[in-house]
Amino acid sequence: MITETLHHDIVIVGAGVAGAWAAIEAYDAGIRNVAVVSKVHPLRSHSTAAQGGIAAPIGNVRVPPGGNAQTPLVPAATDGSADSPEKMVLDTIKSGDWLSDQDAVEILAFEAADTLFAYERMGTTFDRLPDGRIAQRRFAGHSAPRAAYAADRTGHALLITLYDQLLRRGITIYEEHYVVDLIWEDHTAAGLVVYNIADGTLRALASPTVVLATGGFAGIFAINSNALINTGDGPGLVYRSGLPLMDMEFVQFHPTGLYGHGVLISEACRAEGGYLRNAAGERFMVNYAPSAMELAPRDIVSRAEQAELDLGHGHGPDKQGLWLDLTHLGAHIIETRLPDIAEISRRLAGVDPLTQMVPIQPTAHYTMGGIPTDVNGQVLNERGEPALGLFAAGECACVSVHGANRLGANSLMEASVFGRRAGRSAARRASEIGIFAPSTTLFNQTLGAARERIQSRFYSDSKDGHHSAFALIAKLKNIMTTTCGILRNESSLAHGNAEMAALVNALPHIRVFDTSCIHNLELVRTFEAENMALVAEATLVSARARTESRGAHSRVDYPERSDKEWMKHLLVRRTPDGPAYTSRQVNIDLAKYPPIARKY
Amino acid sequence: MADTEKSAKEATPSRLVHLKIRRQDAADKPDSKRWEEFKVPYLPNMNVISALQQVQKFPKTTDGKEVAPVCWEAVCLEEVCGACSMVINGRVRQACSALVDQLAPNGEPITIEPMSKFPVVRDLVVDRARMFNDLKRVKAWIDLDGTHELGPGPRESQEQQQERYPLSRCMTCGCCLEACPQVNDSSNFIGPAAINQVRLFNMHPSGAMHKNQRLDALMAEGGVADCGKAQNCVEVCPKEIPLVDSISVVARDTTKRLLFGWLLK
Repeated sequence: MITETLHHDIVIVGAGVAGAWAAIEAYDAGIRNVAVVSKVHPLRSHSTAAQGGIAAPIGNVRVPPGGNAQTPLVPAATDGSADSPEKMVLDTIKSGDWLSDQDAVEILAFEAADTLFAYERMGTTFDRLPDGRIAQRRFAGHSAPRAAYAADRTGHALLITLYDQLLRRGITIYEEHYVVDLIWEDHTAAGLVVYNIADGTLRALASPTVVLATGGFAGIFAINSNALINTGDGPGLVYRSGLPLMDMEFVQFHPTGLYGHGVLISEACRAEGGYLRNAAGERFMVNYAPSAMELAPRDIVSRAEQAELDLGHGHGPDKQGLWLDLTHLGAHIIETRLPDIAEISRRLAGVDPLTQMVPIQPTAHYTMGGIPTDVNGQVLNERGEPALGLFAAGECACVSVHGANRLGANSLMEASVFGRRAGRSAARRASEIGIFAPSTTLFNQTLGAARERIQSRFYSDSKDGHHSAFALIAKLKNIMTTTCGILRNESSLAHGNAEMAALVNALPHIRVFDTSCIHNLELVRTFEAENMALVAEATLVSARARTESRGAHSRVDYPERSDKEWMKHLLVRRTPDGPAYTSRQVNIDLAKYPPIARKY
Repeated sequence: MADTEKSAKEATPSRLVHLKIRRQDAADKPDSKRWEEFKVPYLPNMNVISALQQVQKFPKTTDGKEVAPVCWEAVCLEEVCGACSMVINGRVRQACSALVDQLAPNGEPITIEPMSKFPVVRDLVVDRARMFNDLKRVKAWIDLDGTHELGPGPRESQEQQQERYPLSRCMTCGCCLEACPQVNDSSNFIGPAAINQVRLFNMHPSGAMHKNQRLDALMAEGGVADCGKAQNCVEVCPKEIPLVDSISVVARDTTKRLLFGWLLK
């Protein structure tokens, strides 16, 4: 294995929307030696799969007077008065069940328009109104039609726009490089160890600033809507470094995953007027959210679905299926506004949504928690102090905008706004530091240790007492889905915690059969298994500790939200004696945003 | 995605999926090129990626040999990332949407090969770097310095957006290059994907400012004139991008530029 150290001013891990924005901003701030590391080609990043829209309160459309949730939208006045950032703040805090930090939410809402217009100027193919302005659609939980969109492939449209800008700037991209270690010098980030998947070489990247933008980790569940790459690599690296993860118990289950598959059927289907039905054909949402019906926020709809399934109202061999009915929308709406959804239904499920109902089930979709940061992307330790040199943005981070439950279309905007801010912060730090000369000994030692750790993974003798990464990951996902799903309780979580602890102990015994240094996916899965197991552990222990129900975290044994005890962020970190908890007050002006029960 | 472990046990053991996979250990080991066959348990709604995942878990060939897991690329599993292009039963396509039921309703063997127009990295993994380099060559971007406080961008008619959006669906999967007879060892034809990008960016009001630079890139050797009009690209494009239209539009524009350029001289 060849090893070497390369130097950069800023290294960004992940090339999805958050990472690409960070790179663009850092470069535009004058830092030329920016590098992006990604374990896949940037265009394969999971941002590409985001479907329905990106939220910005520009008020280009409105519901006509006297209209309801199904009335076709009309263009609004060009002064933007149809919507406001203040409304977006309120919607986001309400949806987040009073666990969102107000300062972060305000930044999101007030910087959203500028960010959306930047995309527009860079050529994103947003849908348009007759007068040529950006079109917007309704999204569940938003009090105004706020989601800009490019048909139902908004994420893809945004990602290619940003990738093109990376190309234009000539930013260095280490594609198919996996980050195996963060390097710390005097509690300050000093770089990374990266493994080149293409040829098996190991390198150190020395950099005074590291930005983690590795995406979410809902891939730790058996039925999930995530890409194969969403394995919690960033949070795993941070957790291993002894730093805390925050609000890990909050995992969003999306109400419409394709039955038996998990792949996402966009919320845009419900926004465009789709119905949810149980096996008997009833629109069951009438019993759970009689006013908002299918357009209630995701956590509420998913819980309603789980309740229906638990009542035995599901279809399919395992009675875990429900129906998404689009048949009344007509061919025009389906083919023009939901073309890819029609395509997914036909190609992956063999169902024509024009005439048939689409089989669906709730699917693990988005992780609200992650690496705690301030509003500039600076990673924080358990005392709220900066972990110098380390930044994070996007789904791997927890800033916290989404609180206990993310509002649809807010994730693309959050990843964009805070990716930009993290890029600017990293640029500021890089220019302050100037010439960076970390200890060569430290780099050689870290590289040597990483090399030994990798070599010890290969079989030297028999397979006895050893595990395969593939089997361990399958087991891990099963534990998460059965013990830490939509509805949770003490006994399931206690069981899950014990099982996961055993699984974490088994990690050192994973062995790799494939000895090739070229594209060794089994070795990559082994790296990933470690991160998945650690974020799974953090999720389970956090879910068990939070004895209330709030947003996406639903405890059957503690069904009420307890503001007195739990209106706070929960941080968990690894210590030799097991998980250690701290908490942080939610940054919220309760006079301005008095907590109310969420009813839709 | 759905964990197949549990359902694997429930499935009828009698039904197996038969895969015939083209393997190669490394780019510099052409001698290692070979076929290997695998049989994995059938699952309802199974696609080629879920079949390959089974092979990865238990890499044992039909003649009982334990081998290294087969290497392949796949990311999103919903046909939007472009990673999993392969030649399946002789046709290039995305493996995630290649359903076993449709490919082999009666348990016929399914052949899986890497794309042939790109260098093989290992097994089914190929190196598509040329496509990303071509994006640079044709300047597939809008020139914009700084992204702050710009205000709303230029308005765009619905008609133009509806023409541009399908062009923007390209996921750089490489299927069109694989299917194109003009893309081969003895030519350096840039291929349909990059030409389509030229049309996309030349249509944009700001992008049009560099229209001529993009056209010039396609007027050199290996440019748009090398298209042989076989129209295979449009047949295989998973996103149904009107690639043939894009090629004719760009060809017309290069011709105009050629004439106009000549008149100016």
